[in-house]
Amino acid sequence: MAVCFIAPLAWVVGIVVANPAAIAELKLDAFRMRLLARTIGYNAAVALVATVIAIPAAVVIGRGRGAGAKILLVLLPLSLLLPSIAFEYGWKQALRLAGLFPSPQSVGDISRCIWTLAAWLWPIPAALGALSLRRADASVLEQAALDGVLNRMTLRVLARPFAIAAAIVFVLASQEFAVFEPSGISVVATEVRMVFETGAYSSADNPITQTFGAAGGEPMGSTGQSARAAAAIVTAVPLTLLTFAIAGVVWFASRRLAVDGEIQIGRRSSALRPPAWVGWAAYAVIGLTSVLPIAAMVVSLQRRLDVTRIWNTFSPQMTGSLFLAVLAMIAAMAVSVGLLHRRRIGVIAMASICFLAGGQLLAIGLIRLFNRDATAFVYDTFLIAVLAYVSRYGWLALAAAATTWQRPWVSLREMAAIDGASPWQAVWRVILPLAWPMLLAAGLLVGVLSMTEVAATVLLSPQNPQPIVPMLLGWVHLQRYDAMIEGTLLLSGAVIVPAMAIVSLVLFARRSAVALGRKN
Amino acid sequence: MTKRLHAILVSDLIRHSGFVIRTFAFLCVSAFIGGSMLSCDRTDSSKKQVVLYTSIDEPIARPIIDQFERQTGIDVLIVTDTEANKSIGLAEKLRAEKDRPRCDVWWGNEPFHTINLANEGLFQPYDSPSAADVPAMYRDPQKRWAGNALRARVFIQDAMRSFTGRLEGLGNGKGLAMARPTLGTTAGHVSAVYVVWGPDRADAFWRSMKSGGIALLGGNGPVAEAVGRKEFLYGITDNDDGANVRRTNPSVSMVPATLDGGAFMIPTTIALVANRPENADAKKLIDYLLSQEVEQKLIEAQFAGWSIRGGENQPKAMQIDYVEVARKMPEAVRRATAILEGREP
Repeated sequence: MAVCFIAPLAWVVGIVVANPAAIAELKLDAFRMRLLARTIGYNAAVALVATVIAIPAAVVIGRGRGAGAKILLVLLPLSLLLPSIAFEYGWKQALRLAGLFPSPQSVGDISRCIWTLAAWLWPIPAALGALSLRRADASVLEQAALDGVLNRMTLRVLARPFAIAAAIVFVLASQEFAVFEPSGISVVATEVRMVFETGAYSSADNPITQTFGAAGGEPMGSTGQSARAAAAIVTAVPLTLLTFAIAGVVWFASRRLAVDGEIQIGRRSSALRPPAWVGWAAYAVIGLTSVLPIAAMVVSLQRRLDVTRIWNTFSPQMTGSLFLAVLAMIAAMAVSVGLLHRRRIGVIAMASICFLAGGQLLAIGLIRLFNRDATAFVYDTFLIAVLAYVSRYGWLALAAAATTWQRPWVSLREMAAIDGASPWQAVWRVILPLAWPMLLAAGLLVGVLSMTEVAATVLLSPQNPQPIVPMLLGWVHLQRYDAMIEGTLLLSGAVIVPAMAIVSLVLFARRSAVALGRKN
Repeated sequence: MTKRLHAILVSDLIRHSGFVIRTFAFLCVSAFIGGSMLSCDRTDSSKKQVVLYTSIDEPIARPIIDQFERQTGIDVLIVTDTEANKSIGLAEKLRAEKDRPRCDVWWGNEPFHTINLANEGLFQPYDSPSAADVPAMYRDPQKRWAGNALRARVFIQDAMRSFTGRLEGLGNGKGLAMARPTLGTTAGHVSAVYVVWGPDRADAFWRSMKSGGIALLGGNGPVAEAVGRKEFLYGITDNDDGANVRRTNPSVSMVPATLDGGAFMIPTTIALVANRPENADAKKLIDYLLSQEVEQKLIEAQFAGWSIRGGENQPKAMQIDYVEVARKMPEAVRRATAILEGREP
């Protein structure tokens, strides 16, 4: 746990401390203010759009029952787990097919980027909104229906979870650079990567790196990776601090949300079911945001979709991604089992901080930490990539394990203790046999997210094995390229199966937990 | 719930879950071992593998490398980067790994970063027989790198643009577009201007470009695409980017961007990375990449425009010292960027 969650963060801080010149740059000058404002503006727009288009799905799942709501419940996480590259390139093809070619960095291009990210992240507000509606007191909603103010009451119930979800979407969107970089749009994420990898700046007036390579005769970027790492981290500091502040607010608000009531399953009055047009709207959003970009890529192919040929072309990189994903899954689950034994709030906090810091900063910390002779066995192998993925997404597995320290699991632990079981015996013989669906789902989720992770993967650029994401990022700037489309479709397809397994396991785990609560 | 009922429940669950847990554990271990074997298969030192860092466009490089793999049975791991970072990002990666390089062969899409990397000691001499007929201008006298296949900086325009359209473009600041000078071949071109004209005349030139409303875009590809979409009248880019746009917009035409009476030619450059274990397969790859066969493939793919060894329809090349261009590049780029982006005090 120390290697995964503490070491990268500590090294990130150490990099800055070891470079006094970078510390001097920790100020909000005109450039940083504009960069921050631009980043906040674009990603706030993403959060707003994602929240608005999530309303129909939240209402259908939250108030509805029957096959329509259940199908939507399954499609929602599948849509979220699709790789961001699929949305980026898919929407580029959709606009190309429609004859729309926004100029790079124009209002139209920025709008495309905002829509792309919103189309990827809208399931988050939809899921939180639905959860809140299901927790809401059915009798209150029924009374509202009788009074003719059901919609107003629904929006009141959705207001707080939507605010929380919008904050989460903002944080996730601000960590993405793959959507903005091909167009040369400058946000914090693109600046951090450009500064670290090249020592140059991607926007017109970045003073952070004007001192790099400026002296006559020195090769560009010769200031070294240490200085560039420090400058990259300093570039990210203002947004990172804002992210932590937002996360704090979300955490407090979500704790209040969690105690508002239990999720109510079972029959509800048909008066609460949303009208049919809301259901159609929800499915239209799914179609527009997820199906359309995939279909646009398929239609854009100029050669026959030959699965065998595609697999032969991409199998080395795809198996590399799968291998890293499986290892990340196993490592995350192993870490979470440790939490089953003893409750460690601090570990979850550290893991959460790692996630909020973002993949790029974690990768910079890991590169600077392990790029040396003594740790070549980490830097030159798959270990560094697995560490990065566990650092970034391990909090999911830890959170799943942390639920076993809540009611009714605590009762089970107490019962086991009364029977004479040691803590480890309680874990192996009581907790784990019941919690395995949840832990496995969390582990699979870590694996799927690792397979599609962009920020850290591109910076680390693993070679043994080589994953598929860096290859696809090398093509994403191309207007239309068959290999890019095929690789993206392959990656998207590879995500579907484990995503469905995750949904099944979560539903199974949820039912088991509810049954366990009733028995207690 | 009584202790007895709890014991019954737990034992019942354990009886059924134990098999599942054991099966899952077996699958995990199998996946780990299988995946490890997959990975180890690539890191096995007895299996021939060469790691190639290249800033050549991946769709161009991959078929060439695939052919090499088929011919020789040598596995080549291609490492590239995104369009925004391609040239300098890979160069910085090589610098960062200087003490323990992971790369065997460097294949750059221009000579300037290659020259600087060679001067920093990142390449070792290798006298490839394939480079014997490469002109001296396009290879290192110390045999640390050699060039193959020539690109050129070009002016492109949409020849079908109407007269009124051209006037509108000139009037509203949509006359000329260029990639930001910090990037790739544009950096080399900017530096060449300073080498040929000297700092004063070069500064005056860029100031005139700035006052004329030159637009700076995110790369040579976007410049070519913008001209193809009639957003700009003219663009300064590379011939391969112009050729890409011509595939969908045949009305786009291009001419070499001449300086001092000659076209600014840009060879791809190949080098053997220093401080790596002796690797005969890496030298085979270098021999292949420097061959006329590969040069012809690059020309057929419309990445390169001309043979480095001379030939028909060859534009007159500007006689320039690439080493001097590489040496002055950082300062030249800094000055030109400051002027073109309006940051000049």
